[in-house]
Order: sequence, then structure tokens, then C-alpha cells
Amino acid sequence: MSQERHFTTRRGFVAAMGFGGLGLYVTWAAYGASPLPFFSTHASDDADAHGGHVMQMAEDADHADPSMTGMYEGGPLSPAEFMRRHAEFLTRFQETDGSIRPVAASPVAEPIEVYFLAGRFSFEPDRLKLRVGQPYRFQMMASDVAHGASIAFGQASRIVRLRPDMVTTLDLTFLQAGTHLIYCTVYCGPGHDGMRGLITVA
Amino acid sequence: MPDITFPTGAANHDGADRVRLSARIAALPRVDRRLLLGFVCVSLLALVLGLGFGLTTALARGGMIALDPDSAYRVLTLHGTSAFFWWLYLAQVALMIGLAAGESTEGLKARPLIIAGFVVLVAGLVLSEITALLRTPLLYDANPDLGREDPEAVAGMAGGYLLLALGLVLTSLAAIVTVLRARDSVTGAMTAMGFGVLAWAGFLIVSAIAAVNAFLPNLLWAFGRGAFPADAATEWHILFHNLHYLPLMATVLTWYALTLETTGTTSAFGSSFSKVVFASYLVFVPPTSLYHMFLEPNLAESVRVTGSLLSLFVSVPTLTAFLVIVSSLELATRAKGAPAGLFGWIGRLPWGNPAFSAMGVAIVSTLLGLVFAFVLIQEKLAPLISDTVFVPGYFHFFAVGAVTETFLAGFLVIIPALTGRAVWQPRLMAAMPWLVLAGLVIFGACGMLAGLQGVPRRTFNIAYDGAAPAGWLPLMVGFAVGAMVFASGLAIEVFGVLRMLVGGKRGVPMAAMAPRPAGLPGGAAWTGPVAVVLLVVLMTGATIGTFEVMRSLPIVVVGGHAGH
Repeated sequence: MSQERHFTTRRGFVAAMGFGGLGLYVTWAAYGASPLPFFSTHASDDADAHGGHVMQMAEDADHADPSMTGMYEGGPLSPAEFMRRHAEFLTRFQETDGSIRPVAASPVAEPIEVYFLAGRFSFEPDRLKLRVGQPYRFQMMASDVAHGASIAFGQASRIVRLRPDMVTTLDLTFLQAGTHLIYCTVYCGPGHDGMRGLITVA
Repeated sequence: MPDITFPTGAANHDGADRVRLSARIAALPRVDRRLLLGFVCVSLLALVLGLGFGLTTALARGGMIALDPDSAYRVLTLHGTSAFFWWLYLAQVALMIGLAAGESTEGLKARPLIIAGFVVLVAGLVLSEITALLRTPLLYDANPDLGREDPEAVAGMAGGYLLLALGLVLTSLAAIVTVLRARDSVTGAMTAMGFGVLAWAGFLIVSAIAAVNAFLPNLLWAFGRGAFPADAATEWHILFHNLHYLPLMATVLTWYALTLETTGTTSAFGSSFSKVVFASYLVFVPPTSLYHMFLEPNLAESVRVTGSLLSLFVSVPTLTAFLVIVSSLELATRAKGAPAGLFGWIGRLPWGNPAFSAMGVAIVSTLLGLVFAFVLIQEKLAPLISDTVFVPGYFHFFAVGAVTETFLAGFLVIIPALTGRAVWQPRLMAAMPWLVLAGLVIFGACGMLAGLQGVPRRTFNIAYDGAAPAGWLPLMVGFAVGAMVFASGLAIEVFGVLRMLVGGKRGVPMAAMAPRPAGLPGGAAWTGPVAVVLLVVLMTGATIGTFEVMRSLPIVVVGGHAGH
């Protein structure tokens, strides 16, 4: 009988198996989410693979229009400038029922700017009316403490974390009509449970 | 009562013919045994508090009890503070100094440090609990943003945690001194367990420094001696990563000790390899911290990418330790004549021993937790599940199933040795870990499904006046039912442990097999590798499923980063 160790009991084998979790890299690569370029399939390569529901990856933002990363006229959108534009946005697009329906001044392909403020314990605006297929550029900021803004789609939600005085930019295009709850996902104080709004897409 | 002296010449560096841990603990000087019992008792108090507040939280989340917002978030703060900070760290101190003392023939060294550490830790526990009970609830991370109008709350929470940090440093230093003095007087070598305790104590000290970095600015601000800690969230993330991997390292070390104690099996891979595995925690854990911050809007894209990549390595030490233990057990059990076949040997393990049963459940629970933990380390999936109830759904497999069960298993070995009392109702105590696991499966499955649907992690009233998706509440009811099941099992286990401290029958500790080397030369050990392959398959399935959920969202999204 051989007295040599079976390969499953060799230290090298056990050490190598300890790195088994790295096998997940292949799955990441298949979804265009690999951190390194090895075997990477870019997300846009498999566009429209799921009924037109394209999930563009966040790194696209870094290679696209600088305005997508909150940079405007060569500089960042400051909190003060955000507040000024937010106030103007609410005034300009407010409907008689108090909701906000942002529309483009002219029929252009550019995203429509939406200024969205989170503060204890409400969102401003808390009722948004948007259009299916229209790109919107959400400029978002928290005014006091950290908040979250999550849009519920029924089967899942899409979360953004918002920090005070830090403008976060997210380009969103809704592909289906519906009414979506938007709610705070970061505990912000005793009124946190009531911090919500509605987005109606038609 | 005269102190019992440890028989000289009993220890060697392979562990195969050492007197077992329970005998070494029983032979400790009386003062050391009392100190150990003190730490065990205080940690169990923290566990009872954490368990009670945790169950209340889960019932409120499931809509089974009604709490006003202030009470709800106070209970949540008390749960996190008691369970995560105080139970997990007091229990670690108890086990660390127990294992360190077991390395020495003369008991603990630097006892004044341990006594001072005990006093400081008890003071910290009291301060934390009173603050969380009476002041503004800041949640367990003691967020100063939430306490701007209540600086006393910030001071109390930060002060409690800083006392915890000081207590960890004092007791860790004592453990280090004890282990270093226990080295072989001729060769200067130390056992794998001694080396592991050194690494553990070192990691505790590093975490204590990170705690000072995170909480001292909060305390200074609260006392009017410093600026508001604007970077508190970042400092917390750095601390938090170490804080939640340290118990896992402690768990693995305890598995090593329990395997020898309950089965008599030593590592088939040698002492040196075990030392490498213990040391690898220090290499692989600190650089993998970035995944906690994937939702932070100011995190650079390059940092997100690096964080995702490094996070793939986070399981390396735990998986390697798992393979060492499972393969050693397989070889040893087959050598005793276990039936052929891939898994037949598992039935021959001492499942009737409550400590072994708890360890077995802990290993299974660790693997279940890993399946879903790896969904969270992919930064592209963070906007779907971070800040949702997916997070507590998966991490209780680690916090309760893996770490708490392991620490209780350690207590089931050392308390009988310290008190001379037998394990209470061994058959019941051996069954309870499985009830805990069943509850965790229900809790985890419902929590993770609810999280995938978007149920927020820290919101008690999720009805939103009828605007919430219809599927949320039924899943949260299941979440609460799961919590009731695992809390029931855990409560019985804690009761059993307490019975060994107070009023239990005198008796001998559960029998351990005689220490013996693992395995037959040339024998194969397939179970561990097969389990790792299965784990990777399940991790892949969970990741694919989550990607598909994200792709199903009826939106096109670009960005989510800050420009300022």
C-alpha cells in the first residue's frame, strides 16, 4: 500500500481549494461586472438581452458625458447651486395638485433635469409625474443627515445612498408605466418610517 | 481550597499527546478559574440582552407587536449594541484568555491586566446599555449625525465603546504575555493554538485602535473639545470590517480547539500549516473592507473596482481552515473504521456531544452564510440589496449560526471544567443547535427574499399607508417566525449553559476521545473539497439569480456617483 499522501490531503491542494471563492469571477465576467478586463463582457455588448431591460453599468458614467458625474461648466455642482436650482425646479414644474411634472422646454434627446432633495423626514418633491421612455437626470442631495432613496418596482428596488451636501447624479429612464413608492433606506431619526414619496410613470 | 498544579511535561508542540483543554482549564489556579467564570457570566448577560432585544425587533418587523418609533429604534440599538459589540467581544475575551491559560503550565500571566480589563469592560457594558436605554437611539454604530441635538447620547455610546477598546487591549496584552511565556523552555517553539491566540490578540488590539480612531472624535465633540466628526461614517466602516471578521477568526480557532477536545483529532496537515492559516486572516481581511462602502456616493469608481476584486479573497482563510478541520476529521474517522462512501463517516462523529453538535451546526451555517455573502461583495449589485433586510437575513448565519454557536460550544467545554458541573440535559443541548439552524434558514430565506424585493433594513413600519408592494409583509412575517424559532433554540442553549454555572449537577465533563493523530497514510479526504465545489456552485447560482433580478427592473440606470 502506498504510504504517500493522497492528493486531497496535501497542503498545496487544501491551500488551493481555499481560494475556491475566486471561481465567482467567471460569473461576474459573464455579466460584464468583472473588476479586471480578463474575460470581461461589456454590459452594452448584451444589450436588450432581456426584453429591452438594459442594465448599463455604473462605470459607463465615468467614460461618458462629464455632466453625468455631477460636473457642470468645468466644476462640480455645489450644494448652494443645487439648492438654487432645486427651488427653481419646484416652482417651474409644480402642478395644481402639488405634484411635479418636469417637461423639456423643447423636444430634444437630452435628459430632463430632476432636482431631488432628501431631508428629515420628507422628500422634495414627494410626488413626481414622469413619462415612459423619457431619460431623466436625477440630481439628488441630502440636506441634513444621511438618507437613502429607493424606488420600489414590486419585484425589486433600486437604491441610492445620499450624503449631506453631496450632489449625486443618476440617469434614469423608466421603461414601463406604473406608480412606484420611493422611500428612505437609511435610518435618519424618529420620522424615518414616514419618509416616502410616489413616482407616477405614464 | 488548594490550587491544582498543571502536570509538568504534559505539553508538546504537536498537540497529539497533550492533556485535553478541559483538563488544563480545570487545573488552572483558582483565581484564574474565577476570572474566566467572570468573563463567561458577563458575556452571557450581554447575550441574553441581545437575544431579548433581537427577538423583540424581529417581532416588531413582522408586525406581530406594535412599537412606537422611538421604542422600536431604541430596541434595535440595544440589540445591536448588546449582541454585536458586547456578546461577541466579551465571549472572545473569555475564550481567548481560556485558550491562552491552557497553553501555560502556571495559568494566566499579567493577572492585574486581566482584572483591570474586566473592570473596564463591565463599566463599558453598563455605560453602553444605560445610554442606549435612556438617550436618543443612535443605532449600534453610534452615528453622531443622529445625536447632534443629544451630545450626551453620543458621549455615552462612544464612551462605552472606548472602554470596550481599552478592555480588549488590556486582556489581549495579558493573553500575549501568557502565551509567550508558555513557549517551550528549550526550543522557544509554541503550539499552533498558542500562535493562533497571539494572532487573535494582535488583531483585537488593532481593532481597538480602529475603535479609538472611530469613536474618540465623537467623544471629544460631545464634550465640546473638538469639531463635529464629519468623517464618522468612513471611520465606522473601517472599524466595522475588522469587528465582524474578528469573531470569525475566533470561531475558526475555537473549532480547532473543539475538534481536538471532542474528537481527539489533531490536524492532518501539521502545526505549521495551521499557523499559516491563522496568520492568513491578518493578510486577507484588512484589504477587503471596501465592499461595505459600495453605496457611498463619494467612493471613486477605481476604489469600487478594487474593492470588488479584493473582496473575492475574503473567504480564503475560513475556507482553508474549514478544509483542514473537515479533512482531518474525515481521515481520523475513516481510520477508526467508518463506513466507506463519500459521507458515511459523518454519521460516526460524536453528534451526541452538545459541544460537537454546536460546532457542526456552526460549520454548516458558515457555508450557508458564505453562499449569500458573496452576492454582497459585487459592487454592481449593491444598489439592489445593500441597506435592505437582505443584509441581516444573511449575516445572522454568521453571527448566530456560526459565531454564537461556536462560542457556546466553547463554553460547554470550559464551564464544566471550571465549575465541576455536568452539562445540563446533554441530548436536548445537542439537539438545540439544529433547531437554531432551522430557524435561521426560515429567517434567512424570508429576509433575503424580502431584501431582494427592496424591504429596507432599518424601517419598522413598511406598510407606507398601503403604497408598499404586497409581497413585503408576508415575507417579514416569515422573517419574524424564523427569529422566534432560532431564538427559542438559543434561549434553551443559554439556559443550559447557565445551569452549569448555577445549581447544575456535579459531574464529569462530556467525554472526549483520546488525542490521536489524524488519518491513515494514503487515505483520501473528499468531503471538504466536494463541499467547497458545492459552495462555489451555490454562490454562483445566488449571484446569477441576483443579477437576473436586477436586469428585470423596468429602468435604464446610469451613474449613482457624486460629483462633489
